[in-house]
This record gives sequence, C-alpha cells and structure tokens, in this order.
Amino acid sequence: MNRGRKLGNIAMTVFTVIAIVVVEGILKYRLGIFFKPFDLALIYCVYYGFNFSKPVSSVFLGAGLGLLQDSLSGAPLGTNGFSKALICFAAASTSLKFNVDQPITRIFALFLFTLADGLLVSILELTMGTGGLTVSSGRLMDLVLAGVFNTLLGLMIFGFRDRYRHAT
Amino acid sequence: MVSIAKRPGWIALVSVLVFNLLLLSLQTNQRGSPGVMRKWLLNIMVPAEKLVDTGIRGIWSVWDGYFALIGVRSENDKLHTENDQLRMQIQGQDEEIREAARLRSFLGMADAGIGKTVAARVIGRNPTRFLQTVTIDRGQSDGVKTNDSVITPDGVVGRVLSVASGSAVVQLITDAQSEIAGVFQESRVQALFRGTGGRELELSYIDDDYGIEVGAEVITSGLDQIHPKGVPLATISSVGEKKEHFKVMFARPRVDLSRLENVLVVIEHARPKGDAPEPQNHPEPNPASPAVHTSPRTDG
Repeated sequence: MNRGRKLGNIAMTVFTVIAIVVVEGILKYRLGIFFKPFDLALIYCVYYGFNFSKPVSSVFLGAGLGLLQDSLSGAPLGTNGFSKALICFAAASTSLKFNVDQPITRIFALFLFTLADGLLVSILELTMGTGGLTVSSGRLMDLVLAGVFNTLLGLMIFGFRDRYRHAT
Repeated sequence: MVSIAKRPGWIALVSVLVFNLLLLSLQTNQRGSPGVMRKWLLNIMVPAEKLVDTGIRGIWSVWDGYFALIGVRSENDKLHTENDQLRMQIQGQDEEIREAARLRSFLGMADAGIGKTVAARVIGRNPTRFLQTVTIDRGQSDGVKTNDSVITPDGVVGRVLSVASGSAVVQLITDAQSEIAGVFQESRVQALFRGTGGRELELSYIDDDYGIEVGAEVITSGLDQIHPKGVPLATISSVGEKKEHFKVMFARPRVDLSRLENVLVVIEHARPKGDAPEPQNHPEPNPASPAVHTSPRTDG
C-alpha cells in the first residue's frame, strides 16, 4: 500500500471516530431515553476489530473513541479510553481465532462486550470515587438491556457490511 | 517462550492501558477537572458537534416553517383570547408588585436577583450510558467557569463541570454524583438532595421531616454556594417510611431535563445591595455581548 493511501485511510478513520462520538451525542440529546441503551462507539469498536483484525490499530482506535467519549461526558478522562481499548483489542483478537462471519459468534461477542464495557466503566468509576454508583439489580438490568439493543444494532450493521462485501 | 517483541498488539495494549490509568490517577476524586487534554479534546469535538447540530436545526426549521403550520390559524385565535385574559391579569398584579417592592424596601432587604447570566444552547448529551451531562455552546470566552450554576426560568438544571474556550459540560442535578442544597418553600425546612442517576432526586439530609407531604415545593437555599437562592428546584413526588434518621423521599425536578434546549449560566451571583458599586434598577444591555444579561429572580 503506498504512503498516500495509508495516510488517507488514517484520516478517514480519525474522521469516522469523531463523527461517531458527535452523532452519538446528538442522537442521545435529540432522542433522549430511546437512544440511551445504544453505544455506537462500542459497536464500531467490535465492527473495526472484526473487520480489520489488526490488534495494534484496534487498541489505538478504541482508546481514541473512549477518550473522546470521556471528554464530552465529563467522566474522568481514561475511563472509556481504558475499556474501549481493551474491548477493541479483544474484538480484533477474537477475529483472529474464531469465525466472526457466523451470526452466533457476532451475537455472543456484541452482547458480552457490552456487558464487559459496562462493568469495566462501573468498576473504574467506583475505584475513582467519582461515579456515585452502586451495583443494583436495576443497573444490571440496564446493562443487559443495553447488551440486547447493541447486539441488534450491531447485527444490522454487520448485515450491511456483508451485503456490501458480497456486492463488490 | 514467545518473545514479547513478536507481540506488538500486546505491547500496544499495555502501553495504552498504562497511559489511561495514569490519566485516571491524575484525576482521582476530581471528576471533570479542567486539564489541558480535556480542553483540547473538547475544542476538537464541540465545533464538530455544533456543525451537525446546526444542520439538524436547519432541517427542523424547514419542517417547522412550512409543513407544521397546519391548524395555526385556529391556534392563533385561541392565543389572542388567552393573551387578552393574561393582560388583564397582569394589570391587576402590577399594583401588588409595586406594593411588594415598597414592603421590601421597608424591610431593608437586598434586591434579590439571580445575577449575571449567559444564555446558552444545549448542543449535545453525554455519549456514554451512565452519566447525566449535557454540552452547551458557551464556554470560557463567554465568562463561564467551573461550578457555575445552570438554570432555566422553570428551575435548576445543574452545574458546570468542565469548560473549554467555546463550550462547557454541565452535570445535571439528577446525575448520581450531584448534590444540591434546597429549602421547602412553605415550611422553610433546609434539606439536601442528591441525584439518583434516573429522573428523580433523593433526599439525603433534612433538618425535620415532620409534615412534609407529596407535592411540597422545594427551592434552592443557596447554601451550596453554587446555585442562587430561591430558584425552583423540585416537587416532592413520594414520601416513604422512616429509614435511619428521616423518611425516604424522592422529588421530581421542576425542569424537564430530557427536553432541554436553552439554558442560562449564572456567571456572577447577585451581590447584596450594600456590596454593589452602584445600584441599577434597569441595566442597559451591552451591545458587545448580547447574550449576557441580568435576569430577575423567577420565584421565591
């Protein structure tokens, strides 16, 4: 791959990362509670990891996405940066070991990664003493609900990707 | 044994995780601390957010201006009637206001205003699931500082958590980490409320819970030194059994925090009359900064 194309790809990825966090912030503002369970950044992390299978770039992409989320959310910088970097790396590593084109693998991965992300963020906030959160059944229920919604949206996005790939 | 040099993914992961942990350790117990990196990231994100928001508002305004005008004529007639009734009411209340002002001056009370405010527009909401924050389009260059109170004419919205040059992140009063000092409007009992992370506030301290019933109005007491005194805060929505020292109580914020559009940031609290350099009853608006104005207290 020549240098120009490589730089173009990097610029495109940076643009996508910023666009995802901005669109997510605006959708959460405009759609309120209806969009609350979704985490576009997490879905993109899994999508990128599965699609490109590059652990190194996945780690940096995840950290970038998470840090941008932290900047807009007022959360301690690094909370989402830490969890998204880990999730992105796990997704890329999973794609090297499993067949991620199987719907069942995608369902399990999206659901489990959402739960893992929620738990990691909660643990980090509790450790930091900034979350003011306690582990409650309601909160776990929210997490499970987020897992279900993210899995459904993620499957739709993967479906588009498959269709595009087969078309080309 | 596999050499670590052959695992660039692991090296990258460990480096990034250590970097994030270092960032976190710098902010222990200081959520939203104004670091250079946070300002830098906000300065990247907010212009992009403003751009997309402007586009969406443009589409909405086309819809509102052309397609959503069906039935406006009948609504207009109804509003005219309502307007006439309200004007009559205002004429009746004018005299009462003058009388209240006279009595206040007799009592030597300070002319309790809210202070200097900056009007801001909400342009985004917290992109993560767990925290309750919004982004506004005013920042340091408009005089907004960390811990400034954010209100609307209906009541308190929250406080400024972090500021960049042209934007700020506001922690809503319902955020799980938010605490606010209030006073019951009727009984004048002091209380402390904290956010539940949901849609309500929970009582975390009260001087005396006797006689507090559902529907009781709570206003800010000003004791937290963040929010101005007397701004509507919440209405008690449920009163439960006594737990430890006082009854479990929940309150619904007076402002619908899910539909925030425009807010006021209190950048300077009103000073007592004695401290003011020159009393001004009708301050002239500053043409250089049309968004900055002094608003009268809305309640209490």
